[in-house]
Amino acid sequence: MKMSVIYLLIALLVPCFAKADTSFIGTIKTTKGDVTVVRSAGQTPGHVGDKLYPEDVLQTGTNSSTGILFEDNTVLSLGSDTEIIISDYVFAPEKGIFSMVINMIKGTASYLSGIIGKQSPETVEFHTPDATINIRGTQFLVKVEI
Amino acid sequence: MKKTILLFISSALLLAVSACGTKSTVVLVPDPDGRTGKLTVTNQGGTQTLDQANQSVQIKNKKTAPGTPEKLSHDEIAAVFSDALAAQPLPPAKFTLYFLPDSNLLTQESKKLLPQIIQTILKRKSSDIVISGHTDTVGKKAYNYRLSLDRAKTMFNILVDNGAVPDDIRVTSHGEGNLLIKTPDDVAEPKNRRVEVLIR
Repeated sequence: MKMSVIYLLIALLVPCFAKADTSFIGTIKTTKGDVTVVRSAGQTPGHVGDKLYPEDVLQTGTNSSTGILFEDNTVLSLGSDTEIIISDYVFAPEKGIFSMVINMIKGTASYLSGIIGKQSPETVEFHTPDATINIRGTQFLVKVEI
Repeated sequence: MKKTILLFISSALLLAVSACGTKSTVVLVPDPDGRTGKLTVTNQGGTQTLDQANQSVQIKNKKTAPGTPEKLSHDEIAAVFSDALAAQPLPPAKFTLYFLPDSNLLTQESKKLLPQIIQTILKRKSSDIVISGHTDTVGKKAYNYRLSLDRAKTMFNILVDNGAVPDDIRVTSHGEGNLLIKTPDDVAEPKNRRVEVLIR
C-alpha cells in the first residue's frame, strides 16, 4: 500500500520535473556590462549560455547590452538601460501552438522574427507602454524613453 | 505565488511608467537577407503601418495616434540603436552533409565542408549544436533508424575530435521518417542520405 502511494507520488512528480527541465524558451547568447535576469527565485546576473523561462524580466545597465536567441530562432537584443518582460512564450510546432508576448518598459531593442513570427505572426505581440507592435515576418527596432 | 506577485509588480510598474508619459519610437529595418517586412503600431488613438525600409514612427502616449511615418538615415538609426544591434547573436547556421549508400562514410564533396563546420562552432563558441541523422527509403525502417543514428554518431565523433564539447551536442536519428526529397519506399535518393548540423 505504502509503496503504491510512493509510486503514485513519483508518477505525479516526474512530469513536473520533466517540464521544468524542458520548458526553457531561449538562451542568452551575448552580454556586455551589467545584465540581470529577474524571476520568482530572485535576481541573478545574466551570463552567456543562461537559459530563459516565461515571465523572466531582463534588465541591462549603463553601457551594457545583451542578445537572446529564442527556441524558434527569434533574435531579441537589448541596448543600454533597457528592461523587458517576456510575458508569454509558447513554441510547440508539433501541436501548432505559438505565442510570444514581450512588454518593453524602457530602453532600446532589436527584434528579428523567428519561426513564430513567420508561421504565426498574429500570435506575436510587442508592447511598449503606449502602443502595441504587430509584425509580419520582419526586423524592427524600438526605443522607449521614460 | 511569487511569480504572480512579480508579474503584478511588473504590470504595476508598466502602468506607473505609462501614466507619467513615455515616448516610443519604432523603426522598420531590412532583415539580414535584405528583405523588409511590414508592421503595424496600434494604440487607443489609432494605427499606423510601416512597410518601407528605415521608416519610423513616434508614439507620444497611448491616447494619441502614432505619428506620420518618417524615413530615418543610417546615421540616425545607428546613433540610437548601435548598442542593441551590436548585441544581436548570429542566427543559427545549418549545414547538410551527404553519405554514401548504406554507409556512414561521407561523400568526398561533403568532407570538404568539415573545416567550415568546425570553424563555425569554434568561432561562435556555440554550446548548442543539434545533429540529426537521416536515410533514404531503401531498406527496412528499423534498419534505417540504426543507420541514421550511426551517421549522426559519426558526425558527433568528428566534431568532438575537432574540439566541440560533447555535452553541447544533441544527437537525433530520424531514419527514413524525415525525407528532404519526398520519394516512395525503396527509392535510392542521395539527397536523403544525410546529416544536418544546426549550430546555434
